Amino acid sequence: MSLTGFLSDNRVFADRAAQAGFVGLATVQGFVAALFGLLAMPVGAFTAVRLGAFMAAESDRRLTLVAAQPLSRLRLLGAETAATLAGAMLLLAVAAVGAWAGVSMVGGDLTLTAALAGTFNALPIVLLCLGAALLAAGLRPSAVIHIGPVPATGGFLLKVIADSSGAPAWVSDLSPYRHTAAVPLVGADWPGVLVMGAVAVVLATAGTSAYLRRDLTG
Amino acid sequence: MGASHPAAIEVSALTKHFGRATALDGLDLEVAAGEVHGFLGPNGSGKTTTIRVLLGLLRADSGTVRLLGGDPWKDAVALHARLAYVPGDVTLWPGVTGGEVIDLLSRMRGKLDRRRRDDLLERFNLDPSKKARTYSKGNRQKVALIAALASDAELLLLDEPTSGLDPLMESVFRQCITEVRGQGRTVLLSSHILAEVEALCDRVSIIRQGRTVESGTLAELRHLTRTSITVETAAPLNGLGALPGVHDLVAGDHHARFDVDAARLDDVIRRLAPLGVRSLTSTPPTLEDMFLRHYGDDTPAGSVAS
Repeated sequence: MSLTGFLSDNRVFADRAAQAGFVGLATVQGFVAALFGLLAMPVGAFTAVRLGAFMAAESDRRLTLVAAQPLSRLRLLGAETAATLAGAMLLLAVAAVGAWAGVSMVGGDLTLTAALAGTFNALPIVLLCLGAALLAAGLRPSAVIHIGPVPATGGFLLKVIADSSGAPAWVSDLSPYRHTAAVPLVGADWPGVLVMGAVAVVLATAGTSAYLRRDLTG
Repeated sequence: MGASHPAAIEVSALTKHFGRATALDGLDLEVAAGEVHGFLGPNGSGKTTTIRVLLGLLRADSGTVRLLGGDPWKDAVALHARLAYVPGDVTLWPGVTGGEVIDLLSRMRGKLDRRRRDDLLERFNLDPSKKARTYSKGNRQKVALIAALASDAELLLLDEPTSGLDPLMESVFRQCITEVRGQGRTVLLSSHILAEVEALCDRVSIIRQGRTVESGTLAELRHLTRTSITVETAAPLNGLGALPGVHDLVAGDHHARFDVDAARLDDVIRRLAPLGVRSLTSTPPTLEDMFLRHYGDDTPAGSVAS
């Protein structure tokens, strides 16, 4: 029996899942949309770990010789951020190709375009993680790997707990997942995408500005 | 410093705090262009903090800092193109070879002089094909030294650059710095090795707990301190201890050993001459003597940076 078939036959389980925010699990599109939503957590953590490694290189003075070269700090941080973002997007693309290949192999209905739309729907939350990591890099470099994943993991826990416990809607609204549509089951929540993108840019700008003003650690 | 030499480094009343701890407490430093300047002080006196401020890695809390005519914080990129830096404890990415690090640092500066790099690799006897994780502390130090010396930087900031090098390599380092000086380049050499500073430096600044306590040529610094005298006379030596400027007197009937302030040396010699000097040995103070005079009773409480 397939997992989507199991969920179709067990309405109670599917209803509980819907109550916790996972709708449409009984369809392929709904099921992969739920999985793709979870993808924001490991990929968001990846961005935090990458920037955390950059901070570690600064604090153990591996970066000192490079920082003493004719190279601006903005360029140093920008290069690391660009490489991290490229890595995150590669992970999202690989996840889409993997999901598409897996579903296609068992005769499921999922196009590669739909899979890519689904995984890249997690990008705004990943950007929030990157923005939070950059903010920490500027203000509290030792805490980058702890603060960076918060929008994804903290946001996910907040939404599940709020939805399951009947908390007021504004509590759940604080979670980025509340503003993330179940792509490819439904279309993207473009206002949510734009707002999250804008918040990520604000976090990243504030963090970069603080980074350029502070002493290098180590 | 001579009026004909513009200052490569001008630091005045520099302060830097880390939390409540004071690392630099009104430090002054002036290094003329074209000189090799020794920067001496014990661990925690603020040498590394000063150099990191000069590099623009740390921001000064107060005071003025000028490096090659620019502001090291605001003009860091332009200034970094004109200087080379060697830290005291070189940390490298473990999976990169020493040669790759040297080439990367050279390319960041815009050009790689392969001939000079290969010459330095040979002189410092470094295998550039090995991964950094296999290097000893001394070999990591060589990587940074070769990258700095292979550059055409007009100012070299060297923070205890020979820590971890064996005596043979220290000798190679001294030759290289002598060549650098011959090319008219400027060197700020922070060091614990007093013989190295005596051999290489035109001028010296000694710092203690974030402040400069002495600065000048070695001759000037010696003039400020004491000369050791051992003397044997035909007539009995009496009343020597009462002479102004005489210290640490150990005297017998006809021989004595004592230190005398440089300014009082002439008076003491005049007093000794009529006694029929049979032998006299005068030892000028070493840098180590001067250093120990400043730090012999030093308690580094409150200092946090090296």
